[in-house]
Amino acid sequence: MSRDDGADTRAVRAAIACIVAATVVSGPFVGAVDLSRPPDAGFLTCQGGSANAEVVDPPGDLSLERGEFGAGTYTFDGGPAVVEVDNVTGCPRLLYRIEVPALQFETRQVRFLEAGQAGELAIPPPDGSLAPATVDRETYEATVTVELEGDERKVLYRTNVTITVTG
Amino acid sequence: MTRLRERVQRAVPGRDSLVRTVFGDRLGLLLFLTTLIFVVPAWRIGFFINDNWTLANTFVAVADGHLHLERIVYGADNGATPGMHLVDGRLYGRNYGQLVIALPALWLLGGLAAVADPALVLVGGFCLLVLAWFVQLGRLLDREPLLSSVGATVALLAFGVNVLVAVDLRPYWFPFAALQLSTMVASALVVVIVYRVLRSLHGRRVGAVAAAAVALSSPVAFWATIPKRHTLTALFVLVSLLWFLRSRDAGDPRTATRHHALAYVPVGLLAWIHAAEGILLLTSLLIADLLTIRRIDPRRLAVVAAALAASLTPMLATNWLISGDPLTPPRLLPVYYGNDEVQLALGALSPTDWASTVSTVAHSQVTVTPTPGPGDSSSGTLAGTLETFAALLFSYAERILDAMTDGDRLYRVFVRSGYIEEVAALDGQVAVSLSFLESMPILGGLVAVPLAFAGRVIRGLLDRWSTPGQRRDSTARHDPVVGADVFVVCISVLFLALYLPQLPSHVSWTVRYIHPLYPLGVYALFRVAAVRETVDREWRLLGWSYAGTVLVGGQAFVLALATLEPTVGEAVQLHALVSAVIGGATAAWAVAYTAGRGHLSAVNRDRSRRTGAVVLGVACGVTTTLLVLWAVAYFPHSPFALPAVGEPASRLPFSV
Repeated sequence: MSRDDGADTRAVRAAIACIVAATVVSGPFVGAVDLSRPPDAGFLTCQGGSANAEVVDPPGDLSLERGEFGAGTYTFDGGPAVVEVDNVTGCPRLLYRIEVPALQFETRQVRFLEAGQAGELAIPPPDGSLAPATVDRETYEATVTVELEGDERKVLYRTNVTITVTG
Repeated sequence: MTRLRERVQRAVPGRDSLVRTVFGDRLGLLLFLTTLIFVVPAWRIGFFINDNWTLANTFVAVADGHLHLERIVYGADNGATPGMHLVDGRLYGRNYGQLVIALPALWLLGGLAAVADPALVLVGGFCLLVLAWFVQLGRLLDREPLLSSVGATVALLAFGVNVLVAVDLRPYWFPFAALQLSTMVASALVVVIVYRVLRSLHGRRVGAVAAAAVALSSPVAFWATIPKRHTLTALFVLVSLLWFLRSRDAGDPRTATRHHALAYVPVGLLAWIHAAEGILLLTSLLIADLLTIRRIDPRRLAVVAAALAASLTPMLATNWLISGDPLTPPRLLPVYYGNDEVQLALGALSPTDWASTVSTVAHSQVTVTPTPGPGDSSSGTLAGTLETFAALLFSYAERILDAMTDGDRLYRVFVRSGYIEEVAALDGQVAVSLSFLESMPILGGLVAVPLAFAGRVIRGLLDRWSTPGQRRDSTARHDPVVGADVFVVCISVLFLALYLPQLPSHVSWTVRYIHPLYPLGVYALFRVAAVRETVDREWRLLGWSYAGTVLVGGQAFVLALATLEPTVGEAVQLHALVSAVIGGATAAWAVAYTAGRGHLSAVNRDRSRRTGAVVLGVACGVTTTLLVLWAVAYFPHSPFALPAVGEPASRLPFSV
């Protein structure tokens, strides 16, 4: 049985050899290099921290809109809260919270900050799905809060708004 | 040296014969590789739904060599995840058959990780699949030199890009990843079997197109990477179908008997995963056999019965070891909710304490499991078991009748999902569970099946009337394909009967309980002459229509999402709406063409077929688009096995 060792067969073998070699070289047996890096610590392991944060553009009007295309549920819609951050250490987080006492409902959008991060950050309002059966008024009074949560909690912005229900 | 090599090659089954046995032919192998290459990029290693943690923790126990759980590796520390059961102070999971089947994948992963970087093993494995795909395509198209070189380049590039962003895979994830590997391979085998079955009935082209539809445009791809039973359920049902058909096709009686026996082997294996589903499979095989077998040969019967008994043995042994009753599967055992008392039972207490604590908790916590099974934990005798079974059947028959006459329910399950209050309430108020049609719009064409069947019956009657001398019906019944059709109808009806009373259900995504109905539906769809003829003649147009929908339509979808800024529910329901509409179009075309085929002029037949090819292509294309966006964008629950997929996914122009 003769084998046809054309350029293409050599290319296939070379590719296989490269892939296998890289995998083994980075493995525990050879361990010459480590081609895969450890996973990011993530928010589960990293907590606390601090930052300078200021709301430069507060969230505007909010509405509760019925989901389209048959999605059905009501979600919050409105402009983002723009926060300027600086001097980030550890992994603090920014929260955009909406509380609607009449519905006994609270929802939040979370943005994790990374050490060294600086600049403006736009946080959209949280979706906060509400069942259509629970939404029976045309307006709701709500409290909107933007907070920084690190080693300590700091309220950056708080206001009472009237949410209009549309759709 | 050369002669020695030849002799060795003759002695061991060669690659060619392996390809034939498993994949049918090279095209089958290519479809297998295609499925894997499509589903692996969607692979996220982490919890997705429901009993994922339970199965993974139980898998660790099985890998450790016992059925009960001694350590909780994943999820809540007390192990109280859905599907966990408590017997005599010991925790047991479920789906044991599935876990045993996944063991080789774990051993392979563990073995490779001893010498190689596990994260790169997954990446490298994928790249080798890509390379193999190109080489096989090259051989199939007789363009091996060119495509091999292309394949080598693409594989190396894909490897390089992934290595740049590779993240360690901790041994912690090996069991979970191994479970996912086994379901991915199972999904690829589902595709291969659809190909083999339809190839043997209607030729390679029809088989290949049908299989490609299952691989790229069906919920089979969605569930491939999720470690639940659904993919394996579909696989075992299809394995039975394949062997059943082959036993009828076989030339000599010995082969026929062997294949017939093999058709019954999946019964025990499926029952080992989910007892009720195993019973459904057995019932369907028996009905199909009784209705369509030529004659009952005692020796053949003995062989088939022996095969069935052998296949049931692991399940019976597992049940006996767990509950002491071979006929009581894990799902019928007391459910574990992780109360403090039970948590203590998990600690080191004296044996008597175990029993007392456990029995009180067990009895106070048992809920009525909606899944019917062969018996109840209280009944030890056969008569008791039968009695319970009959009672279950009776109460179920009532519920099935109610469900089948509930128009709103049928509409929600089969046609249009939308917002369903009771379902959304359990899905975090997001309408993400699709209907059958929305999950796979080409199956809208199934409405033509009764029409095609009626047409055939009428033609048969007319033929008999015009040629009164022949007795056609008695031979038609023995036609292999009729047997296969009867089996497919039976198993589909039984699955619907079992699960319809519980539907629509939350976290069901694609009506996952009736998962086997997707590949079976494709079988039924391609049994319709109008569809088959269209695919056979207009496969090029079908391909272009599909490719156009995926490439242009897919981008249009991404743009629409960027503009509309939908919530997850809205995005999924937009897909659902588009799918339901195109599914409706498929249904309309299939009915019209099936009804009118006999009366159309040649030109109009051509036109109808071209319309059909476009509609089918679009229907498949929108499903592929949904599958891709679903995998990369909508539910970012865990990191990808192929790290390079995560990078573009995080940069999509919208966040839902």
